Amino acid sequence: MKAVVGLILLAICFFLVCFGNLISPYSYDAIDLMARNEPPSWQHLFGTDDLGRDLFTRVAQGLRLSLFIGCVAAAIDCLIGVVWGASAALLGNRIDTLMMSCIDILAAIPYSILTIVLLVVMDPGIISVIAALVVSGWITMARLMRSHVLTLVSKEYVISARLVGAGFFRVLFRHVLPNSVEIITTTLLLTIPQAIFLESFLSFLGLGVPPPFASLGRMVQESLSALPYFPWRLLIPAAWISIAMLAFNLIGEQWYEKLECRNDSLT
Amino acid sequence: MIGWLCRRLMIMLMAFVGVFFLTFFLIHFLPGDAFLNEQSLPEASYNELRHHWQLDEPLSVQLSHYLGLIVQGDFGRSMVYPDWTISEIILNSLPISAFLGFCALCVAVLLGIGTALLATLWRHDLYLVITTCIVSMPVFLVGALFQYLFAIEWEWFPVARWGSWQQMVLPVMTLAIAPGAFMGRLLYVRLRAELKEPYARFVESKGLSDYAILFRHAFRNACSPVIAYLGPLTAQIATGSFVVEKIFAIPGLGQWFVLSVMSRDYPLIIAIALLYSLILMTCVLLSDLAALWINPRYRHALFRGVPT
Repeated sequence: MKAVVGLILLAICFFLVCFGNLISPYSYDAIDLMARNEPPSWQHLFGTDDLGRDLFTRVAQGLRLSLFIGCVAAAIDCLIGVVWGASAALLGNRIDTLMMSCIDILAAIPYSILTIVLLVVMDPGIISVIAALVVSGWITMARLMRSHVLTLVSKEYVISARLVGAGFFRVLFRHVLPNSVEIITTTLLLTIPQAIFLESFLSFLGLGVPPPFASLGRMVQESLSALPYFPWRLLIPAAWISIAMLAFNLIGEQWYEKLECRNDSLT
Repeated sequence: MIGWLCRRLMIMLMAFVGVFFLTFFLIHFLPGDAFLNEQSLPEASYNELRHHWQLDEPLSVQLSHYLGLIVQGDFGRSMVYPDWTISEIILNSLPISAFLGFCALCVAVLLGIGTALLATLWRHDLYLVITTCIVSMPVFLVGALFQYLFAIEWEWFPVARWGSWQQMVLPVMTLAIAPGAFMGRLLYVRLRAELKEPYARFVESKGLSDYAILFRHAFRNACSPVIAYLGPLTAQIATGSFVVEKIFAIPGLGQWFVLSVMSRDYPLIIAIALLYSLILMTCVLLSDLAALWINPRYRHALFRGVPT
């Protein structure tokens, strides 16, 4: 049930992202000073901002950016995390301690400092936002993956595979990864909303993808002073961030519960 | 245990050094400096200012200068606001953020644990749906919504600024609601799992009431992840939230870090970064120790990274 709602919300988001610019007669950066700060109407479905730009088109474009950055950053997070965590657990002992110490040190650095300083140093753009999100984002996945693989390493099939001489990569790809699909997919699904949130937070700080691109966080920040008079300018973009996050959260949770039930019935 | 503590302290020290070098070298890669923005500054005065702040020295000299500052614990004056020393800036803003954060933390803990216990007693999964919705709301949406509804539309509370208790209600609620919901769902999921354990069935068959099972047995076992989560949360909340401070115009520490990075105020950046990481590391260590004290089984997760 939760997943159905989540999928419907996700479908709405994707519809807006894919066809929003096509069905809207306006361009996301077309300024129309005769139509400033208009409330939502049939003319402008979500209203207009202080330069008369159509919010529907801008939200569609900003949401595309948010979803793209969120999904790509989460995917890279998981990729690095899985490889790092699984390697640490499989290689064991010294290397394990070393690799996990790296993670502990990185985790002890507040992520806000890391991301903000990195973003200011790098040229603004989609790639640097993704890079800044990934720098601190992969830690969770790596920790989860390591603790999961540690439980796998003592399983008979991994031990026997190693006994007959299977190498690191064979154990990793044939035995460890197929048995970690559940934890990887769950974490991936639950990392995406976090990445979406962080992206909007960064563009709220003014560190996101630079204008003229519309980004939802920046739209919120620009409309903050206009809140008493034109609340839709802030609430509509912020609500779309929520909807996107909620969609992924709902799907991820349902997926997690389903896997949990299956594990319960197995044991 | 002692070995683990020593290792943790070593890692904290290395992370601390890491933060210092990271901020020091990264911010010196930043284009521009603190005085470039000021308009119509004569070449001579600009060079004079750079010389005064040792910005024209080689990096190694500046590095030793900052290392000296850290050892003395005194960061001198801000480059952008030379009327203030760094310690004055921090001492003026940190208590506000910390007090706000402390109130928000209390509200979040009360809300989260209270609602999770109630939901467990009623055994209702609607709780999961509601908390998911709340967790999915970014803090600026919550803040703006609260401000719009309670301050502008209905005028129950002041819109913004800092001073009286009425002005605290909205920011505290804004800060507390998402962590509260997150904690609540964490605890609820764990409680539900604990109640399925054999010991819970056993005490149930012994005839204990639902309340006794919940409070005397399940809660104690279920709350260690919540306590472990409280550590980073406390650090994050107590050092100030940029978004909340911006929405409600609160003169806290959260805005200073972003401001200092934007204006290339090197001593202030380094001081705040070190302070942040010190607070974060202390809170995480304390919360891990507390979780260990409450539930010794947690040490498997803590010492070896293996789930209990």
